[in-house]
Amino acid sequence: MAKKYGMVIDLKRCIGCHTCAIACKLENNVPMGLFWNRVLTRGGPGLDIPEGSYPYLKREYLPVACQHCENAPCVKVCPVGATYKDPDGRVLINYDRCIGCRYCMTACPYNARVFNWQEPLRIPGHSYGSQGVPDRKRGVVEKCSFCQQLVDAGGEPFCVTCCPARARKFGDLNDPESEVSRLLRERPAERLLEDRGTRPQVYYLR
Amino acid sequence: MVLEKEYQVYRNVCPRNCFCTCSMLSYVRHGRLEKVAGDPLHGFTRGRLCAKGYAYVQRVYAPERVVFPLRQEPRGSGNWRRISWTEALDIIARKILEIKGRYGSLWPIALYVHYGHLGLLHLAVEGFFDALGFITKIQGNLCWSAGLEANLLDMGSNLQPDPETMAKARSIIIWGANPAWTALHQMHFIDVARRLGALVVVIDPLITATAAQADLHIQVNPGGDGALALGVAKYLVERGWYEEDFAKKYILGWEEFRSYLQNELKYTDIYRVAGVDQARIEELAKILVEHRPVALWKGMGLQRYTNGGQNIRAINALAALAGCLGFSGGGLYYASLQTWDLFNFHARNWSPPPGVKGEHRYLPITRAGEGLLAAQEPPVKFLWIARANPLSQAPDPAALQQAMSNMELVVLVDQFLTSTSQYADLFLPCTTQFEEWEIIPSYWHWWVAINQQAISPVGESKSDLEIAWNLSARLNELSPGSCNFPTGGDEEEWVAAEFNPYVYQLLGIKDYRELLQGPRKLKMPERGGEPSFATPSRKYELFSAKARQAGLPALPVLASPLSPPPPYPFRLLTPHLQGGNNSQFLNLPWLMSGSREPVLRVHPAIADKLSLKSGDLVRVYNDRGELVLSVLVTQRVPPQVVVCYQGGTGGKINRLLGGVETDLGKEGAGAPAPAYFETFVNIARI
Ligand code: SF4
Ligand code: SF4
Ligand code: SF4
Repeated sequence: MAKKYGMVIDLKRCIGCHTCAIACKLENNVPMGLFWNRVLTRGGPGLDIPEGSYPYLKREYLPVACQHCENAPCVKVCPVGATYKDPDGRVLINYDRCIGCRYCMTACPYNARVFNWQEPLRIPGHSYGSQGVPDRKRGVVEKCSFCQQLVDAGGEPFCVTCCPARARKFGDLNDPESEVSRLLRERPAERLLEDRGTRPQVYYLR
Repeated sequence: MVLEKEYQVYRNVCPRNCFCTCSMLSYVRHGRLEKVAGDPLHGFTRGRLCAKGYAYVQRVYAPERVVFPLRQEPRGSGNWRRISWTEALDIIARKILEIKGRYGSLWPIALYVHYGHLGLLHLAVEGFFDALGFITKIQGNLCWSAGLEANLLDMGSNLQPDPETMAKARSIIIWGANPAWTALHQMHFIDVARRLGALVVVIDPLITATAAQADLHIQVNPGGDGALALGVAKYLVERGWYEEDFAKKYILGWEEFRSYLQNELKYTDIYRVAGVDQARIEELAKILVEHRPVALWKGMGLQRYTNGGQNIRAINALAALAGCLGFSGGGLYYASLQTWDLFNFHARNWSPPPGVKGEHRYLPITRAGEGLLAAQEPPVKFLWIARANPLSQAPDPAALQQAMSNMELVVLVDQFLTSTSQYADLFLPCTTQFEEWEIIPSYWHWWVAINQQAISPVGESKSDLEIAWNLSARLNELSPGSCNFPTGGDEEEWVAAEFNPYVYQLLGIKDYRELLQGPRKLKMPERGGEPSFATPSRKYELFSAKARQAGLPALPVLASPLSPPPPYPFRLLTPHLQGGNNSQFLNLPWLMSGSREPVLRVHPAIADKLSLKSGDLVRVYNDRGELVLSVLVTQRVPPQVVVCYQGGTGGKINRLLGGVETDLGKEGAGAPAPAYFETFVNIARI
């Protein structure tokens, strides 16, 4: 059976450390002003603010990047086929094809995509992260690829490797033996905005 | 998973003042650092860093990093110009020699160092000045002194169990620490314990990210920690739920303490000082009894009070009664130099040239500014600051700034133009860990990793060690024999010189170069078996004659923190923030984008009373100063407490500090520490 890569994020473990957000930026050569992966605080009015009132407070973090939707609205609206579902179940972008119309950004309910409004500015001045990350020019949309450069070489996404809380797991959702499949069998999981019918391949354990 | 073949891969160590001391792999191509990753062979950090760790690639090449020596004329003007190392070292060497000639003493030369870098070779700064002669030293530590001394009084040492073994505890009490932000990798071991059924209790006035994960959060009053500990101890004693055999055999002052708990200490006083009720005391007592082994971790926060040392002593006493001192499972944690003490301190230990006699003049770090201003016969004329940003981090920055303005020469070694640089004359750029050799032990875990040079120094940066060699060379050219510090060398050899047969034995290696294959864990001597203490009585000293000599109660009795004076009703807490390490990293856009720091966190009840909403600007003031901050209304802070994370205001917040010190610290660190959390302010909307 074809692969269907997916991710499972254990919200009980996530401690909101933002390590995955910064590590992602490093690994994928993401320029200034853009993040592919962000850590939100769930429910509260602002970053790192709890929900509810004392002593019934709840503080839960929500790391959000591309959900690699099975029924991806971004893929549907792309007029040039730059955004596509790859055979391994990832939603990827062919950056050479992207014409910067940003229809996909409007279509994505997760705000997962970011746009290069200007010449990408990097500090440091040189490209960083792993070899094999595609170049993105001014005027194209970019987003998480599940670290394609690492996964295709037999590794795992950098955010999974880096997470100090071991909250992130990655694998093939079609393989019943994979850790992600096992976790989804064993623990209640949810997907973001299920009512949109996007069928994300990123699951959150509560 | 890394694509090794494309890169040269080196081993580095994060040298920040952080519990984790992470081992890193650095990926270099075309002589440039392109990626960092955690080192999977490091058993404590296990291939992971924190957000700051991954941001090093930005830090090394940040455009505002200073990579050439600079001179500011006049001081405070911001008018910096580039000069050569030759010129910079010449200015410094001539000044030192001129001052020495003028006063016939080196006391006019002062040294201010702290822990911005934990590497052993960076102690060459101290080594250099010791090799020069007897100077004026700023003594003490801004952070952990009270707790350190409390541990020494009670147990005679500061040993602690291997933090990895916390994973085996059945309950973990995190008392006044926020590891989710400041000791990130310990969270894994806590999580392992929890999955095996351990209960996690967090005791903290704030609802921290760690508290959010806990099974039980006890919101103690700031500085009421010792009171809570004594309340639980009293309850345990009343029920007979304590280790009586241990107490009788190994505790000095047990009878006095028991009688104090039972006959003198009143629960009503405990409730008032600790801000907890009987139910909480019982809950905690039951956990200590029913969920053993207990790992009890004392954070640094609860000792930043005028009763900070007493707080730690009271918690230690509770641990002793509850049998969690670490002799049979569980244990008592703080931070420890037990692994540091194994090394040779080759870079630090140098003596003056033969025939030079005298002693250093010491000024306590809590009053460094005042001390420098008041020093007479001879006055201080020259100040060298390294591994520190005191105008941001120290108490009373106004006095220190004044003292710096009075100097004839102020030298600062750093990487960025920090708050402190404003009043420096010379800025000497130093290397990051990627540009130098180092060995960096941890004050928490037992792993030792080597730090190799991965890239050439950026610009003309030099390590603290190389600066010391070069300056010694210049001094000896101008005045042969004036400085006993070596005038050159090989950094890697200096790394080798830090090792000795005992460290090798504990690491199970024969040569430091074996560490290039991966970090090793020290096999520290077992602490099991018969408990033993390095105190004068060889017992655990609940009754401490030393404490009495220091003018404190001999027993860890109830001690309250200060109360707010009527005009300044809010206690200002300034704990560590997530995105930085003290004042370090806060200049990096990767880490700070989206952050609203610095902000003042205010409880909704107070916000209502003052008609404040998030985003409003307030004047935060007391009789020492004021600053303007934007408000963030949040339930994470209790009413009567306002919080501004330290480091983010460039020292402005430190101008409000109360000028009071911790009760203990002299024995542990040479001087007490500032009682940072005893600061009271008022706020007014503007
Ligand atoms: S690295 Fe892990 S724990 Fe930290 S924010 Fe990301 S998912 Fe959460
Ligand atoms: S999260 Fe957004 S960008 Fe990613 S696949 Fe779904 S719709 Fe597309
Ligand atoms: S700051 Fe601490 S946790 Fe982060 S990389 Fe450095 S040592 Fe590790």
